Amino acid sequence: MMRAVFPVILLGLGLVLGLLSAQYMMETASGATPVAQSGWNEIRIEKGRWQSIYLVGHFLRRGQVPPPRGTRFFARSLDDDGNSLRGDCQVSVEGKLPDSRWWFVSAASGTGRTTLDAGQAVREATGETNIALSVSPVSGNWLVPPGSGAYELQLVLLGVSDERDAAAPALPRVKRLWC
Amino acid sequence: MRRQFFWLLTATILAVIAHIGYVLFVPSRSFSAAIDTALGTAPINTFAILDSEVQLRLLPYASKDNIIGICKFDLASGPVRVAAQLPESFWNFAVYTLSGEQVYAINDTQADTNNFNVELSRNGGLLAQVLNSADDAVDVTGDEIGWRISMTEKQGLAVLWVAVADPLLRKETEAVVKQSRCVRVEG
Repeated sequence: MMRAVFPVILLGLGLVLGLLSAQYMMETASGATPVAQSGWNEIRIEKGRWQSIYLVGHFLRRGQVPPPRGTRFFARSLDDDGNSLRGDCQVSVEGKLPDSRWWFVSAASGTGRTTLDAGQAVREATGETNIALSVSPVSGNWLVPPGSGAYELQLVLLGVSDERDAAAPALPRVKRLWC
Repeated sequence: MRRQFFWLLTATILAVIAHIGYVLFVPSRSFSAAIDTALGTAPINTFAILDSEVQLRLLPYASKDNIIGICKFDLASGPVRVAAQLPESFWNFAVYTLSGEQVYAINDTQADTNNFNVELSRNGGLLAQVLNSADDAVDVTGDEIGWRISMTEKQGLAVLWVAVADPLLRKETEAVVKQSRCVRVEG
């Protein structure tokens, strides 16, 4: 009996592991490049880079169009202190945004996505752009997170000055203010 | 022992096949389904401006204020032409296969014009695909300002993204983008 069941269990396990690993690698955007000392990961889709298949799949699985060439896409799900980003906490995104012709800061979760872009945001006299993510109204640049659970923070830059420059620009800080 | 090793090896091969199969087929099916949902009843080879809620869901690089126009095209019965009409603004035009591969992308500064034609066609037969495996874009000179793009897959998606710097100008900007067309090239 055991002799007959052993191969079936092993094959079933192989099948499940194959499927789950593919799902996991796409969901976590396996192949995204961590940006040194910033907490951000860059999702960079490049022709000829084998990891790109998981990065493209990361968007396709969610039913999304992958960002076009020349776009720089950064994402994170933790703040600077390692706390997960949650809708029931107030989070602040602070600092100068890298030079680009257009940018988006989005909060995305399974329940939806909210976005603030260059056309809506107010910039400080110092050149910094400060954004508050909170369910309750906040003066200045205010972005409501999608739901009260965990979300992913995304920073998308379009029309960056040098698209081929592999070095990551200085990225804004992310702090949890209160929960 | 040899028997156990055989089944372990078979299970490993099965895991690899399942992994590759999932990566190759599942995401593109989800993508295709999402596009069909976004387009609703709009027929294929038609240019459509997306509803702001839909564009937020479909594009990870769009806000509700941007204007997004898409055309799902089918090259099975011949080439398709996208005639883009765009405002003086920052815009981006990209062509994808339904498996998510980007075939072509251009923005306003690279194009140096706001009105252009893009003719999409399929690479020839199997031999042509082998000889010219990469999807290709060629500048068209003469009366038409534009590009010819040939691709291996028969279906794809053309996406126009337009930034709106002032929400008050959204209607005007949308009226310009709405003049864009996506049609099958006759003859």
